[in-house]
Amino acid sequence: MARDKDIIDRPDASMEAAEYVLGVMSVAERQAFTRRLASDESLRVEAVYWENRLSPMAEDVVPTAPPATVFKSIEQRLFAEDAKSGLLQSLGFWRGLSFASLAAAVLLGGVLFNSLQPGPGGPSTLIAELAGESKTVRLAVAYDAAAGALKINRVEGAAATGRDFELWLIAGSNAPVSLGVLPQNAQGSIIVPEALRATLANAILAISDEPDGGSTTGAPTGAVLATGQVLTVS
Amino acid sequence: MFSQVADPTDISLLLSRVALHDRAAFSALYGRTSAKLFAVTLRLTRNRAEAEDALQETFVKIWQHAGQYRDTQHSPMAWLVAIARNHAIDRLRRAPKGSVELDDTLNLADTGPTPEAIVAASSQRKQIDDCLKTIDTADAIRGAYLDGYSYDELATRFDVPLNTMKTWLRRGLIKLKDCLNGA
Repeated sequence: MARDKDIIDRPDASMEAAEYVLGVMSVAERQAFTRRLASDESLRVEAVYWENRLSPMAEDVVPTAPPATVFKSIEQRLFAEDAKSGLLQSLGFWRGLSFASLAAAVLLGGVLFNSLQPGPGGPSTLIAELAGESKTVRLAVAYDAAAGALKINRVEGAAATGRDFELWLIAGSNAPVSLGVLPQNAQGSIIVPEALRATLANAILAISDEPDGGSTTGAPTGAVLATGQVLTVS
Repeated sequence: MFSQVADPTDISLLLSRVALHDRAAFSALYGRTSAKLFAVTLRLTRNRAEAEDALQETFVKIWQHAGQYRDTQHSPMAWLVAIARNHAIDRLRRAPKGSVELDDTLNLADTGPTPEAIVAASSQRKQIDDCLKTIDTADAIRGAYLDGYSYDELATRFDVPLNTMKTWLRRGLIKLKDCLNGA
């Protein structure tokens, strides 16, 4: 059995993760541990272990309904501009995509979109840049109106063996609709069903990680790896 | 509200829809889990205003980060509870001593499991309960997890020096992990 001194001076990673999850650390220790978590995958695995194993203890706590004002505040914080305009249903999260990012997207066009040759319909006016928070998956998408297809340039990231990337269209407050799995090649195109073409402008496009051949449930089942809003450029 | 049953499969599906910013799914998830998560933040912070703020931050974070849930290897409720506890504990630790007035009307000591909760107890729940029975620091672990006691507070409560408390709790955690892993 470990000596007391070692237990105090040299706790192993799993012990530290347990203390972090329990919340017994001081503010300074907690902040230092949070920084280590961000860069240490093995530490995260330990923390998740404890979070999963200890969480059934929370079943003891008797549910207490929060006041209705809490949900209103949450909606206010997340969807304030939607509520005002009444137009951008479900786009609250994307309200940050202002003129600045539109300009950036146009600039980016030079680099990111140059591999997407214009179709017979001329240069695309609908484009989207899809990225995840970690930037491990990044795509440029441009709509070719004449072909009714989205041309795709996958700049970063590829599906794991036996997995597929699936493209989803979220128009307004509608549920996500699958546009199909991405081609294996970094560049390719996906035909947009005619009924959906008119909904592309301002829609959200998203990529999820799915089993080979795509989701079988009609809804995304895997992690969402990249999202972006369809922007109109001229 | 007391019939809020958190079926893990349902919660998981709702989270994958929330990841795509489906607001109906977000409302449904809130309806399904908010009373449980509020109870957790209330018990940790021992203060209604703090608990409400922590709950609000929790759901803002859920909306913004639902896409990452699947990569974390959490069970769905464990992920939600972890976010709620982290926000509550950060608030609890940040508040200077004495600045948070304890709300006596909450009657926290009496919040034992409801009869339904006992019946619905999961196998994971039975495992942690059984393992906690085998170690002598079970009360300290529960006190930290559910009531948010820091090492300092635990040392005071159990009337032992801080280092003794740390050694004792860490030995308990080692035994707990061995038991949970079936050693």
